[in-house]
Order: sequence, then structure tokens, then C-alpha cells
Amino acid sequence: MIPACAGPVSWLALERHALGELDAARAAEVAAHLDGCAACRAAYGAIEADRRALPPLPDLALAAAARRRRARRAVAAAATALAAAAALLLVWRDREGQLDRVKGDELTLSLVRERAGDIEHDPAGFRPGDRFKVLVTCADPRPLRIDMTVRQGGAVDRPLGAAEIRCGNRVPLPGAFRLTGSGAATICVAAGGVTDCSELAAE
Amino acid sequence: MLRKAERILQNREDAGDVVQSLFVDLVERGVERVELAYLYRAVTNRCLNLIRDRRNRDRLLERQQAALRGPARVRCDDAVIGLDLLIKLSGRLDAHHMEVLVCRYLDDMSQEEIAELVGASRKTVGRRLDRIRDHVADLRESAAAGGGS
Repeated sequence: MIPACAGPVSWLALERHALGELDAARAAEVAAHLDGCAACRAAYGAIEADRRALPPLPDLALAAAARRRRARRAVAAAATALAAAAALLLVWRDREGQLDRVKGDELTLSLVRERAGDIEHDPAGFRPGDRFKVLVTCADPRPLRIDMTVRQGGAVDRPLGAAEIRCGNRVPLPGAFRLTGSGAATICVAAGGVTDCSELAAE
Repeated sequence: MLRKAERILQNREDAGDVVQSLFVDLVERGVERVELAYLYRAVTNRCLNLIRDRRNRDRLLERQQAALRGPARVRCDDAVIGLDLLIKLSGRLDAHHMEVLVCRYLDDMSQEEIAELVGASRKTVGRRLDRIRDHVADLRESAAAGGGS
């Protein structure tokens, strides 16, 4: 059992220490405390043990994202000028080279399936035990409460509960769920009277 | 950030979702540099939003893995603040108190660190901690009396 510590070094300070972000004086204080405190040493050890040699985030990706944002703004500005009377909110997003477009209160559902570590977007079927994430595309500027249901064999289930999201392109709903059973399943999302569903056949 | 979200939510899936959605939002907004302290507050608030929503509570408790809470270096009197207590307290305390609660009893911050992080005076932080302690004591008394909460 790790003994208690009267004045522990916070997790934030430990994280900063591990990242080398503390100034020299504070870093020395933390190091001295760690020398004499088993509880804090154990916490710091957990941070160190968790460290993974992640490759640095390529600047290229950020630059490309910035370019896409600028391009989207330009497209959206042109579209708004052309369709101002319609007052539709357009959401343009880059998805694997394609632009998705959702208007007004439209709502679309897409699914991501994980099967034994393999990820498939927009699958047509499931096997018992497959894990699913639900992605929603919508354009409502207000936070949107999404009601997600799974219908299978006459039963209706809400494995993720209701979630409030900020609209965007393929926004993941919190959590994931697994499908069991041998009958086809219908996954639906609904918000503000608009519903979109996706059918999954049993494989 | 994942470690921090796991300390609060005590499950990897929801913690992963919280952190992923935060970084997606940052990328969408074109934020390329951000302070660790900002990320800390953002993760805390997003985790607390999940906890506050009654519809998530059963799922969170079902998925709870106590080991992800990590060592309890700071206790509220004798109580370790875990997910169950956090959920109960979220029904009694406002967002400001809940943030201070997480800072103190899950992130193990001192009052000075909390005051700096949340932009409040140390006195305010102290008052919020007093109120938190009162509610924790009340909940424990209710539990001991068999009345639940």
C-alpha cells in the first residue's frame, strides 16, 4: 500500500514535469518531493509508464487542414451570397475527398463498425459482438439533442441514451454499442422531428 | 488528457470520446497551440457534462473500472471521490463547485493551483471546498443511516 502524502504534487504539475514544461526552480522542487514521497512517485511512474513514442504531428496535416478551412469558408461565402434568400445553413466538410452538404434541419446518420480490430465505415451488416459508433451530420446552429435507437426483433433499445451535440460533419455520439442477436437491426437517430435510419443485415 | 478523463469517468471508451471530441473541435476551430491548463479545464468540463446528464449515468456506472481512478492522494475527509460520489454530488452542486471538486480531489491540486486555474480567489476556492465537504459529509451520513441519497 502506498503511504499517504500530506501535500501531493498535482497531476497537472506532474504532467508538466514529465513534459519538461516546469521552470527550473519548480522542476527542482518537484524532483525533490518525488525523491521523498512514494505516493507521488507512484503517480509520476504511472505517467512515465503511459508514455508512448508517438510520431510528431506533421505540420503538413495542420497546414492542409487550414487550407481546407479557408477553402470551405470561400465556398460557403459564395454559396451564402447566391442563396441568401433561402437562408439555409450550409455545412461543407471534406470527407475522404468528397464534400458533404447538409441543409437546414437535415440530419444524416452513418455508422462505423469495429470487428476484431478492423474498422469499416457505413457497413451493411453485422455479426454478434461487432462494435458500432454512430456519427451524425447536421447543420443546426444550436446544440442538438439526438435520440438514438436500435430496433431489432420488435424490441427498441437506446444503448447510448440521448446525447447533446454541436452539429457538424460526422460528429461521433458519445459511447459505442455492440449488436447481438440474429435478426436485422435498424439504427435510427432523431432530433427535432427529423429521423434518419440505417439498416444492418445479420451476416 | 486521456489519463485525466479516465480518472474522472473511470472508463476508457467514454474518456476516449471526450478527448477525441475536444481535439476535433480544436482542429475545426484552427487552434494549433493550446496550454495544458486549458486542455485540463476543457476535459474536466466535458466529463462533468457527461456525468450531469442523467441518461448517461447508468452507462457510466456499468462501464466503471475503479482502477482507472488512480491513487487517491487527496481525500475529502476520509472519503475517496470516485465516480459514484461524483454523480451524486453533481445533482447537488453547480458547475463551479464541481470543477473545484475535480481539481482538488481527482487532480490533487492545491488551493493556490485551483485558484490560478479557474481564475477565482483562493478565498472563493476555500469556500467552495467547504461547501463540497459539507455535501460529502451529508451524503455519507445519509448512506450510514441507510437513507441513501
